[in-house]
Formats: sequence, structure tokens, C-alpha cells
Amino acid sequence: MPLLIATLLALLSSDAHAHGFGMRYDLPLPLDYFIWGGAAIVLLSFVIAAIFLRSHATTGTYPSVVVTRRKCPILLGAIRSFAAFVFILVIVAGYIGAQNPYKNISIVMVWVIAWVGIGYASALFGNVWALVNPWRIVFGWAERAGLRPLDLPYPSWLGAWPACAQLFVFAWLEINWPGSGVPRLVATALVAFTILTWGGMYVFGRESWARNGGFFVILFGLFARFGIFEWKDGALRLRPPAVGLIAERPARFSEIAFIILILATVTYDGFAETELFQTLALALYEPLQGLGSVAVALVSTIGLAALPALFIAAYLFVAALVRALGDNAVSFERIAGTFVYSLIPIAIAYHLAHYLSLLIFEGQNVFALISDPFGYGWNLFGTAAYRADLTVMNAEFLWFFSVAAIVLGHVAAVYLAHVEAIRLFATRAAALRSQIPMLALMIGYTMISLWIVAQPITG
Amino acid sequence: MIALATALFLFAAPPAPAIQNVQATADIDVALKDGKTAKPQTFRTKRNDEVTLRVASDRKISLHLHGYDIERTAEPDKPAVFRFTANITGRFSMEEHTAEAGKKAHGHAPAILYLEVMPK
Repeated sequence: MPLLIATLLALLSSDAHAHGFGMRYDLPLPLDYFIWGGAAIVLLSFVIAAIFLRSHATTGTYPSVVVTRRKCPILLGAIRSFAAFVFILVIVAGYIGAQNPYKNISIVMVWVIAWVGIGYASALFGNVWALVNPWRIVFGWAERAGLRPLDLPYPSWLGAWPACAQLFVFAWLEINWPGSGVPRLVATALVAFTILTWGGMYVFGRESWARNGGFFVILFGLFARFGIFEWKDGALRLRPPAVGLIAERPARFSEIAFIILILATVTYDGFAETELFQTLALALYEPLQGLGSVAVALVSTIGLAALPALFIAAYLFVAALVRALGDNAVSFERIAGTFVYSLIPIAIAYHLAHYLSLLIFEGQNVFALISDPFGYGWNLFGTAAYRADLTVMNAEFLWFFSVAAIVLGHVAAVYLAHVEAIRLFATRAAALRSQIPMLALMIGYTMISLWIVAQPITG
Repeated sequence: MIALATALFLFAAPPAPAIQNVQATADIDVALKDGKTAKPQTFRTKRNDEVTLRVASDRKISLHLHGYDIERTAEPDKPAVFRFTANITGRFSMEEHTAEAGKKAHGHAPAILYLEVMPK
């Protein structure tokens, strides 16, 4: 038995190690931060509810200020060319560069700069992915050179399911895949994704595939609706954060699944590093141990699938309660499809809290790697000897940032849900009554995020 | 009901592992058998403490302290000595450093010990 535990822990801790790549040095959030954070979310939830009790009709429109109407084609062209260059560099580096993850630019570019960094930029600013999406850029060039896509109509029954499948596979690769730190394997995964994306663009047309099946487009697009910049009616506009998430139309069931999958997979990534997870995984592993190393992959796959299933079930249950408390006046599809957008700020908040140390610490490695992207001993810009400075951010800052992000994300979520409720329900009383289960669910999700940050990282 | 479920979930958490608090300017001594300890211990110190970490081993072993990025070698009669000011907060593992580990994806043998540097 002790041997079994040791083997499993060794396998799990190297597998569930740290989202794709890199060490995490985070200290667990101290109890008093946790309690103050928890108290703040409960208190602020009621403050928002009380404000809405007094306020008058909410139309769902929001103020915005025009920043500029100028489009600079030279700048846009330069950004696109640079993005395409980086994309090709990452794949080439993966194949021809050193296979040590710290000596090859591909690993830090994929997991830290692209995945975490673009997530941050989207949530804080706006839809940067629309500017730098290399698959769309290169395909656009191919079209200009004469490529004619088939442009078949995208079947509506497919919905966001291809994007859900891609998100699940991506999360699995990020969290459970031992190859996530091997440049050659990461490059191969990128090539596979490229074939899928360009295939989809060829069959359904570039924009149609990006909108329907492009999972980064959908994911970063949802994050960007939280951001403070938007491009609308021929102008770059500044707006309050989160207001872009006021539902334009109810989400379809596949889109509900996609949004909750975002929330659940980022939660799972943190949860997989806690002792409770290790205990649960061990219990699940025991009857399967005859399968050897397959059992470990199986346990982590079951875990990664179970959490979204649980989250979706909880959300649909709450949506049914909301409908009942709102006098059954609004259809279930409309309620579930509308309130789901208000969960995005919670997912963003946890994304920001969970990945900050990775972005700030591991992200610094890129300064050295731009001088020696393949690990050949080059020094193109004279920065090859740069070593990450781990004193740039201390534990208190990280704790404060995490709690602040999670509390503010929760506030945005409660605010959005109230706006939606006032728009959906005929009477203010029904709207407020309907918000009780939604509020309980959000406090639940937010407390889980805080709890995970308060756990020591194991493995 | 959900609040209750959350509460149950929170309190069902297993207790934290035993942690040894270390005084400022304290010495930490660890002995390895065949490059391992029975269970990796966690030592907790405070920011800017002067730390001396001595690791004795019955075989030659190359050790790496993450975060501080210090590498030392221990031999049967010559413990590895890590002496540094704990100016970086966080939780850092010490692991065996082998040529092979450097090439591997996650490149980490199981941790030998953890050092937690807390804010003052």
C-alpha cells in the first residue's frame, strides 16, 4: 500500500504537475485573506441586490466613449505579419530546437505567452485574438493568393460542440499530458490543430469556421466581452468592464456547455494540485491499478470530465429554480441561455488568480529565449543570459491580487445576473426572487475558487 | 443547499501536512538514504532569514533548489551545504538533478524537501 501511494503520487505529481509547463511557487492563501474574501463576496452580493431593488428599468445598454475612428493599415499589417512569424517560429523551434523545455522558445510561447497572456489581454483589454490569430491571418493570405474555400453552410446542429470537444482536449493536454513540456510533441499538437482549423476553414469558409468551430476564437472572444475596449460601428470604444457580457441573445445548449467547460477546466487545473484531489484520485486509482500507467491517464480523464458534468448539472438545476421562482413566465432555454454569460467573470477571475505567478515568473524566460529561440547558444539581442527575477512579486501581492480578482469577478457576475433578471422578468419582485438560487450558485463557485487558492499545492 | 454543499466540501478537506517551522538564521539538516527521505518534509522560514541547509547523503547526489536556483553536490562524507538569504517568498522544492531529468518534459524527480518562505 505505501508503495502504491508513492507510485501514484509520483505519477500524478509529474502528470498533474503544473498546467503544461513551469514550476509554481505559490504559497497557500492564509485563512484571514480567505475569510475576508468570503465575507466580502457575501456582503457585496447583497449590496448589489439592494441597489437593484431601488433602481429603475435596466435596458441592457451601456455608455461608451470613442477612442479613435482611425484604422491604421500599416500597423495592422505589421501586427499580423509578426503574429504569423511567431506562429511559424514556434513550430519550427519545436522540431529543430533543443528539447529541454527551458531552452526552447516554443513551450513558454504556447503555454505562458499565448494561452495565459492572451487570456489576460482579452479579459482586461479586449479582443486581441482577432488581431493576432495566426490561423485566420495565414488562411486569409492563402485566399488572397487564390485559394477558394468550399463555403458549405455550417450545420446548425453542430453548434458549439466542435469547440467544446477542442476545449476538452486542450485542457486535457494542458493538465494531464506528460508531453506538454516536450517541444517536438507540442509542435506536433499545434500542427494537428492547424490541420483541423484550416480544414474547417476550407470546408465552411474562414469566418464561418472561426465563429462556430474556432475554439480559441470563441474562448478569447467571450473573455474579451469582459474587456474595456470594443470595436463597434467603425470605432474603437472604451466601455466599463464586464458590460459586454450582457446577453445579445440567449446561448444555445452547446454554448452553455462551452461556457461552463471554461469555468470547470480552469477550476480543475487548480483543484488537481490540492491534497483533497490526490486523496480522491488515489481512491479512484486503487481498483484500476491493474491497468498500470493507463489507470493514471484514466483517473485524470475521469476527473477532468466529472467536474464540468457536475458544474453543468448544478447550473441547469439552478436555472430550473430561477424559472420556478420567476413564476414560470420565461422559458427554461431562455433562462439557462441568458444567465450563463454572468458566470464568465467568475471564470476570468479564477483564470487571472490562478495563472498570475506563472505569467510573471515563467513569462520572464521569454526575454532570454528571444535571443536563443532554439537553444543553440545564440545571443541575437544580447539577452540570452537573462534569468527570471523572482523578487518582482511577493506572496502578499499574489494573495491580495487573487482575492481582489475573485471578489471583483464575483461582483461583476452578480451585477450581470441582476441586469438580465430585470430584463427577463415582468415584475421587479419576480426578478429579485429569481436571483436567490443564482446568487447561491455564484457564492458557491466563488468560494470554491477561494478555497483552491487557499490550499497548499502538492506535487 | 448549495451553500451547505460548499461548506461540507470545505470542511471535508484533509488536514495540512506537518510543517516544521524554522527559526531565523537556523540550520536545517536532512539525511538521505539512496537519494531519498521517507516523506518529503516541509521547512518553513521567513523572508530575509539567513538559511543554512545541509543535506547528507549515503551516495553521491546532485541537488537543485528551485526558485533560488542553487545546485550543490553531496557525497557520502561531504554534505551539500546551501547557504542563502531567503529573499524570495514562495514554496520551493529541492530535487535530485540528473542529466536525464533536465531533458525530461517535467524534469522533476519526486521532491526531497520543500522550503516555504513566508512573508514577515
